[in-house]
Amino acid sequence: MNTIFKCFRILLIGSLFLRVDVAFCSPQSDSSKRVIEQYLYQGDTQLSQGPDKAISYYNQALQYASNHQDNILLAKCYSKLGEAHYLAGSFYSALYYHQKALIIYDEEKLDSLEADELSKIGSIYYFSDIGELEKALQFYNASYAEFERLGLLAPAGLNLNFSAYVYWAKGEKEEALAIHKKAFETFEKVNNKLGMATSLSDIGFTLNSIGNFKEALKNNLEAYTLERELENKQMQVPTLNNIGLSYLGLNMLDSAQYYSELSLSLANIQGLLLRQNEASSTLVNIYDAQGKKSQAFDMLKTHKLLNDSLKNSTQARKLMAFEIGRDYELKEQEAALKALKAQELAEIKLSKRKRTIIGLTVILILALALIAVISRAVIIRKKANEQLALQQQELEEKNKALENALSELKETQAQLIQSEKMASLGTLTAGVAHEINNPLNFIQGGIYALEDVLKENVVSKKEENIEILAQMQMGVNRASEIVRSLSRFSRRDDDFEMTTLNLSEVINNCLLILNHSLKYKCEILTDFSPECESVISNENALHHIIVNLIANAADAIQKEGTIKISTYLDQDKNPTICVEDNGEGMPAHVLARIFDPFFTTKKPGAGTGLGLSISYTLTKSLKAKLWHESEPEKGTKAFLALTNDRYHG
Amino acid sequence: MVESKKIILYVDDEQINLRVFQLMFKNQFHIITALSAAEAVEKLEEHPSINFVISDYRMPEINGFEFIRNVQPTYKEKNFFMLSGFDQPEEVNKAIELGMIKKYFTKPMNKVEILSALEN
Repeated sequence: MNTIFKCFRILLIGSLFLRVDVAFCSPQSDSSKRVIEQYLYQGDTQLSQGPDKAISYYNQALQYASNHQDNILLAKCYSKLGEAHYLAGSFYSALYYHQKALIIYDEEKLDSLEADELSKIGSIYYFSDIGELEKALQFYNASYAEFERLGLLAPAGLNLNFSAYVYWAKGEKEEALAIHKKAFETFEKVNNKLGMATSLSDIGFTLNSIGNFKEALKNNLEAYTLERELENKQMQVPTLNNIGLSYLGLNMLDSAQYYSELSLSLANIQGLLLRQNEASSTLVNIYDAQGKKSQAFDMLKTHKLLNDSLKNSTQARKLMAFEIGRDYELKEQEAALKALKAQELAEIKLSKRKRTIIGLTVILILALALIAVISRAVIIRKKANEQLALQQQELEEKNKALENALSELKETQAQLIQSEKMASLGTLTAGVAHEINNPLNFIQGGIYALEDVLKENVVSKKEENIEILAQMQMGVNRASEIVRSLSRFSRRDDDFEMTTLNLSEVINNCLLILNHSLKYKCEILTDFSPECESVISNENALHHIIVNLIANAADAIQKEGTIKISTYLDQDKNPTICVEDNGEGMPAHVLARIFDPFFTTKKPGAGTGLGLSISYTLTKSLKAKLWHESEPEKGTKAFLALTNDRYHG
Repeated sequence: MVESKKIILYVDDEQINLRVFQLMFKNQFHIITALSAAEAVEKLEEHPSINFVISDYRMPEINGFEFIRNVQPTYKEKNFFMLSGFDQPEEVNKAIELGMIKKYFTKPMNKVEILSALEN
């Protein structure tokens, strides 16, 4: 509560003193300056109705000032904004603006204004939530020193009083007293009655607070005399309250009552809420001391109302206690007395038992403590075990991950070797195809020519010659078929045109082509997923691969069997084709070589050994995956997983 | 009657191919051969009555495609073909689209295919 009082006092006195220093900023002929001054003035008038409106006016002034590079007015705007923000409770903003003003005044060598800003910054540190009393002291001291150097003793003394408030707040009341006295002397030098009165009142207040009521009374009465001389009623209110407190301390209750009541009525007249609160508080104590319970209660009620507005909860609680206490006071006292007697008797009786109970309790507590320690140990060990298990699990997981990585690495290595093989084969075949096709070409040309010769000239053993020619033709056909197949290796990836395909349709087309070789031997079962009705791939390549897979499945079946062809989306939503046969299957060593060029298990002449190698190469080009699962005598499953381009864009 | 046969200029860097081609089509066409693009240019100047030009793709110095590209604008009335052991190269596709080359045959050659193309 005293802080609030100090705060009020500082604002009051501060405004009285510091206004003089601003007087130099007289309106100038310059129109922009007048505009700024106008904004500032409007802000000032709005300040009483709340800082927000004032801030907006000050901000406009600030903008104008910064546009016109008028440093001094700019600093003034900053200072005003600082004050307004301070009132709005934005202490850090206030600090910021005052510091800005301070810097400018420093640069412009406006020492008195600089000292003023120092003082204001000190006040922010003192009163705000920032609550840095040491910093407050630093700034007040700096301000004081500056004012004193300039010979401006009135504001210097004011700053001394401010410093004293800080010391008082810090609990260093003797120090506060000494500084208030120094302030009084400073004011006395320039015969500043207002400052002298304030200092005396503060000295009185401080003396009251340290219990030196006699000295306090002396100072307060002097202050009161001065204030009456000055006809300053506002200042009289706290001084009168101080006198009341001094008399209360000296137990001169009638005088105390007189001065305090005077303080209250003056505060009421002037509508000084804080002062009313203060005086009423003092009066409650005085009435209480006088034994005037009902008056004390009424005063407390008044005080409570005031407090509600000031949100002082301590006094409110006291009032409530009073309210309840007054009606039941006597009854309670009687009851308390009875209870006390009964308690005393009971205590004597129970003291022996109590001791036993205490002893037992101590043992029990010790036992509990022991249990707690043991159980804690158990818990710790359990936790350690859990942690160990967790670590072990982690290790196992890591081990597993490493194993996976290793097998992946091996697989990658195998794939690398394979693709290297395919790549070198690709470049090889491009050149080889041309070189083989040329000799094939002139063999072919020779056959054509020979046919003509044979037709023209009637030769003996005509039939035999025709057969020989047919065999030569077959040789050319097979050789050129191999070369044609090989040339697919040299195809570049970007030759593939990717289109949207219905996988079921593609497979059905393949079956149509293979029909003649399948129909007497295999039963074909199909299970096509509707989810694979639009996949993105290259039709020719896909066709080539699927034909190969189905043909291989058919070749694996010796006499009769079943080929099951299914499509589905795998875990990663990749469209996948599975061709499953119940044929002879493959042992692991065969399975490992199926993609090698020219590797075949078929009878000589039955296969080129290029089917799966080419399929493999095409698969790579499609960025698809091709793999087999096989078991001898049971059958083989061939899988072709396409990339999920629909989802990957 | 010999005069009524249409004339083919066949260009290939292998003598044996030239000879076989001659034997194959000697009944249907009159065949003039050239072992290089340079020789083919001379033959074109010597025999203005040539109807068809069939060239290999891969040849030393000037390849078949460059040869056709160079001479085709001068001999627009003649039909140009290619016969090669390679899969049809990309640049030939464009030449076919532009009408510079009528058709691309692959080796080993197919007599029926060539005959039907030339007769159209």
